[in-house]
Amino acid sequence: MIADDVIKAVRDLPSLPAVVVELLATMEQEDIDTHVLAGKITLDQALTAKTLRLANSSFYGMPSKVTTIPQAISVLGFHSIRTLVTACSVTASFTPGAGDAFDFPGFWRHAIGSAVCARVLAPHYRINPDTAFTAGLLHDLGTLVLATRFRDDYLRVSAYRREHDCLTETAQLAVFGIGHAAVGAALAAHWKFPPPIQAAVAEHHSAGERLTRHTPVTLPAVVYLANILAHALDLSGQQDDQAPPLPLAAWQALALSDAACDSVFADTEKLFHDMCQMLTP
Amino acid sequence: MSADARRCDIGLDQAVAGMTLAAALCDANGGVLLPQDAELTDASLASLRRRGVERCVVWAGAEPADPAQRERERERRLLRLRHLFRHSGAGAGGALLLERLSDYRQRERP
Repeated sequence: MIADDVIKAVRDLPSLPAVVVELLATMEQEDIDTHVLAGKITLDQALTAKTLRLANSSFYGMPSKVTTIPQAISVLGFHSIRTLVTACSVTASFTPGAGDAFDFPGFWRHAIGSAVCARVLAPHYRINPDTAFTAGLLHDLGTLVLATRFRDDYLRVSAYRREHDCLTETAQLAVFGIGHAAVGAALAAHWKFPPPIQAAVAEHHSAGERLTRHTPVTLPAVVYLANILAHALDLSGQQDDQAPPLPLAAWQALALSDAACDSVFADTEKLFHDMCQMLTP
Repeated sequence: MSADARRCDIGLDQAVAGMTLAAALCDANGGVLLPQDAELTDASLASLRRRGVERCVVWAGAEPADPAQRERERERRLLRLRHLFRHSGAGAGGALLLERLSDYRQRERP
């Protein structure tokens, strides 16, 4: 298995529904016609059904049933619906096969934990919370490509990780010659994610290395920290999980006070369980 | 449920009789196996295991009456934290984050 085969497999993946690409693109836009987008979401029946199921979940505690996408947008807001539709569509693109050894529930718990943590961190750095949530949710998509498109080879990644007690990225590099950050970056480009989300997926392990006290904290740095905190808060529920390394310069540059840390930990844990109920496929 | 209660997602092997569900448990078809706020019993736990249920969400937050039990729970959380930081806790940034989280877990109610 060589890295080129993996990148070719990424290019062979089906595109996301056009409406999802459009919704993702609106994250960068100020003037959005929500009526037009609501109409386009409604044309995709499967997406509409799942979005309405989520909108009616106990998380939102709606007093009456939401039955249409325009109604869902008016009640929950366009930003929430955009996040839900994107999450539904992406999670539906990767489903477990029969007898799959890959831990899908653990994967999604970590993805949702990172998404929630990125959302909680975002206001500290003046980053859009919705974009941070989406980037956090999607940051490890490369692992899903490797685990679902190369099932047999991925067994060797799991075995390597167990034997060396190393990070997933290290084991993937050893087996495939390419890690999930690079695979995810190729997929993010293939699926035409907005440039800041592409950068966050590509740099979620490396953004911390460039952080200094004098550079602004960007979306990739927020997702970098959210990924570390999601591991450190034990949100995946995986017994062999581990917190990735955190350079001192990065931690200092992120400049969270003790009180801010406590609040980020508590808010992330509180939101995490509610979101898991909603988004776990 | 007290105002301090919070949802806690746990493996079924960590669930014990007397815990209260913070979210309904459903089967693959969406059928409700146990409703929210149902109290787990030995019988219901055995039934859930037979059905292959692996996780559940329970209410946590009430301080255990037994101080020894409280101390054991605190120790378990700190041990788990040290395990998570088994490789990164030695680095300077990792050590600071570990210290922050240890302090947070120490003060957290079981």
